[in-house]
Amino acid sequence: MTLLRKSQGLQPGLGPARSTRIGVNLAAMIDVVFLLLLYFMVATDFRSGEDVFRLDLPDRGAGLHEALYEQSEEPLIILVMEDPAHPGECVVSLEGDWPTVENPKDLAAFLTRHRVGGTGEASEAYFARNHPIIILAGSTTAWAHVVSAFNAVVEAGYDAVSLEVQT
Amino acid sequence: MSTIHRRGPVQAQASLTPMIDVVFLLVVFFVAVSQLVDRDRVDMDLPAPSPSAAHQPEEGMRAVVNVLPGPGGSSLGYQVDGLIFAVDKNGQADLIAHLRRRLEQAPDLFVNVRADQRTGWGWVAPVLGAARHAASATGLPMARVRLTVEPEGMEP
Repeated sequence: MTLLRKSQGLQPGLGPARSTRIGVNLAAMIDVVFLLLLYFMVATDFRSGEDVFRLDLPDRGAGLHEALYEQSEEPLIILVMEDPAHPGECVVSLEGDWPTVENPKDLAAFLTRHRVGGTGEASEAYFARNHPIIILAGSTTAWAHVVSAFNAVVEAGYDAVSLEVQT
Repeated sequence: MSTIHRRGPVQAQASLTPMIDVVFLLVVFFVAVSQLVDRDRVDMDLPAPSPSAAHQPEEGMRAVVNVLPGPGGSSLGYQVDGLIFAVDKNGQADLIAHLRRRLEQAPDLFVNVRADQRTGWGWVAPVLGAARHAASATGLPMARVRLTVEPEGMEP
């Protein structure tokens, strides 16, 4: 009743009085909300977006390894192994009678030179853009080295790359 | 006497409502973003090839598989959607089943693979195999995998 009278501008037993305003004090809530905002701004880890390599893995069915080698063109096999002499570094080589490459940079240069439409002579363009390439890495080879080899192949303009574990 | 003087003094007040709206929106944004970051990204040193041929990921649904780094280049397990799968045969089967469920819900799903640069390739390869098997079991012609790397110039 008292509240009703107050809301109507009445005071108990005193009849009509001057109007009273009822307000909510927002200062405390704003303080708390600003503290929350500061907390989350400080606690949030603003990381840059990560880059990706796209890799479509087709269904091989039952013939897991046969399918790789039963292709119209002989795949180029890139071996990526840990360097026993220098732990933490890798050795890159090409299987077959190909020039020696020592690192992913050499590999990218070799692949670019011998790609059809690449930087080399037309007579040296052995590989089409979709020539099958297999990166064969040891199970203990660091992921960074495998990715470096994959990056070199993609950088050289090839798009049929497979990653395999050397058993 | 002017009209203004007859009405009395004017009280100027700032309306706090828009500010409170904006601040609440910011709070909600930061709460949501910090949860997303914690759930998808496990703290690790991703490979950082240079010069990099990697690109920004295209938009789309994704399942992020984190290869949890262990001692000596090993892995402690695979984390996807807040779940951890062991690095044994049972864990591999569970990972395939989980990815299969996700692919059934979203056939266009990308499987993002995150692994520490020191982790051995033998610990990462089973994730690619699991993605391939899950896609095959769902009846899809291929698994859409993305290998996650650090952007160039952002090496840890």
